[in-house]
Amino acid sequence: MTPGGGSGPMKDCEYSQISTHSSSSPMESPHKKKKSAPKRKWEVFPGRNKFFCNGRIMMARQTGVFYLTLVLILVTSGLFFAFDCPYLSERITPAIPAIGGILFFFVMGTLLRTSFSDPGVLPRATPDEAADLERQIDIANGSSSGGYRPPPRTKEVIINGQTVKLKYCFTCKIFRPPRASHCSLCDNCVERFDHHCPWVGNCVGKRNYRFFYMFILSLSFLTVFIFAFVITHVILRSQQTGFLNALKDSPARYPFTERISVVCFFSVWSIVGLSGFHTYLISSNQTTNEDIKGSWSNKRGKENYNPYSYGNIFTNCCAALCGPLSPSLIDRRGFIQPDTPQLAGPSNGITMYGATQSQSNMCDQDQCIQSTKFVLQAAATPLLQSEPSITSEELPLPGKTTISGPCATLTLGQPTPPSSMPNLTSDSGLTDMIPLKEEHEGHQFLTPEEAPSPPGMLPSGSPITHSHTMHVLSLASQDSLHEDSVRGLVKLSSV
Amino acid sequence: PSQVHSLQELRRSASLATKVFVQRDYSEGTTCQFQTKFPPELESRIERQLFEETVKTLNSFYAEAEKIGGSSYLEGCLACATAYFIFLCMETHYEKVLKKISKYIQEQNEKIYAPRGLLLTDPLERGMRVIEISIYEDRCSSGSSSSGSSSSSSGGG
Repeated sequence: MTPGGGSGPMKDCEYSQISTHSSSSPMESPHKKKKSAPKRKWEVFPGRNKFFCNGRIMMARQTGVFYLTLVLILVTSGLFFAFDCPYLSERITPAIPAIGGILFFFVMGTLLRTSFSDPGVLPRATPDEAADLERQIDIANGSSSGGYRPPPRTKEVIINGQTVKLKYCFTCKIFRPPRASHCSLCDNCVERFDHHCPWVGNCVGKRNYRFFYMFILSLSFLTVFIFAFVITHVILRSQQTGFLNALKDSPARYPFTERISVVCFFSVWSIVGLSGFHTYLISSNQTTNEDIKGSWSNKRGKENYNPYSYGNIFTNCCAALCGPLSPSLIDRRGFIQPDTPQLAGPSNGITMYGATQSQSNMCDQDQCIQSTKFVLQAAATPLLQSEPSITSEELPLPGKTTISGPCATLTLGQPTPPSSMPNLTSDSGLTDMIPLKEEHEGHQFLTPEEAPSPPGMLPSGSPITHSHTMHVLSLASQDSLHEDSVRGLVKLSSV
Repeated sequence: PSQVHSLQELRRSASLATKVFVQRDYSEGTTCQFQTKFPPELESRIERQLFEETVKTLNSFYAEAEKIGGSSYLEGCLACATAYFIFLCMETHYEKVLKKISKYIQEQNEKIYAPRGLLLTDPLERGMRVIEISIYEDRCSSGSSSSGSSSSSSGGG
């Protein structure tokens, strides 16, 4: 029986994956493997991210708006320093360009830090984990045959007296930790997901929220600063020579002054408003996602409260901004280890288990294939030592986004997820989207603070584009799973 | 199971039977804690008390890493003041504790788990979601590879 047309390309994808995998398998002699350069994990990362500087920098796929942000900040600040500062430093005090310089430096530093760092992406489940979870879910559900649409997979947990529902992510094959959410733009589950910000070109989550907040806060100060001193400049000049004469005197400066003022005027309201909004969120220890969904609002019920809040504003702020910084969990720059995962041992650094993680992006049907492969390899090959000298040094610095040296070669790691994977994102997209859609139509979340930047505030699940058509394919994928695993085993036995 | 294995011997002579996953315990919030519930698959392999001891120690390590207190505030404020450039030279407190954890896990593996045919995986390598415990069958004692392959394919399938 042939599965539907939608799984045709999926079958092709699966065959090509097996063939490439077997070409780099350690069934060949070890010295042959050294000829092909060992790949780093970012090159096979399953999410929709771009990587630069050999994995040190990580951003979302759409970065156009980020460059716009950079240009706006650089040009405005540059014009300010070039045209207004000389006059002001003479007339008033040289502290003005100095403070402006410090602010500018801080803004750029935090912006780059926010954009380039890992927001707290959760790596996808290894095949063994996924299988184990599936088994447990089946037991819990009474192993129903799963009709057209399998029942929603949720787990309930009680946190500080509040019942919280943990959802199962069909793409990442995990139960999402509390406050985590799946970003459909980046196709990753992110811890403490706040929102996906196109202005910054990245998701904002647990690991870069404080950088993001510092960025918008310092940017508010910078825009207010520039705005105020540009106005001061014009006023002082006009006092000297009369307003119109001031404008006539500096015909070259006039258009810049006006443009800076215009940019600053609009920026001030939106950025200051955004800072205010996030200050509120930090002090109540909520994420943008939770606030928009109204997860902890009193309107849902008198018993509803935020279980994560520490009770007072000061502690909440300190925890968010000065709390410990957890390391990156995805180990972008580690090497993918050869295919003898389960037998290897000591977990000093990233060892063989990295291989299973790289395989997690393969199709489900590979699970059976992988485990039988391991048995064969266990029999065939001696233990291949991991590359401890490199990888164990990588371990202490997985979270560092060091922009060391000129990043001359912008190697774009474009991992191509197997075509079957997008089929499964539909479920997570739908389950996240449905409650959110209602909220959308409800109050449009266009508060004055957020009005200028609604494109920036995209909680997960809001893009509706690909979820609808893909959902139909998820049924076909279920049938073809069995078909393909049988094929895979037959193919494997012939190797 | 009655035979004593060193870690090296385990690699060469054992085949993977199954894996057990100890999940996270979210009852205290989003801090990293693991469930101390004893998995039934380990019933015959290791004493309950040893296992619970390991998990509790790991939990205390993670609590120490994520502790919000005087020193973490200091680190945070210092980092903020330097626009976070200080992270280029300095290791964070969290990373230091993670190193301690990986040493502890290695030590536990060598002393306690490998001799019983078990192997702990550092949760960091599993995205801090689970503690993966691999259970090995001794290939020499359990006989032909067919039994090994059937058990592993049942584990993976």
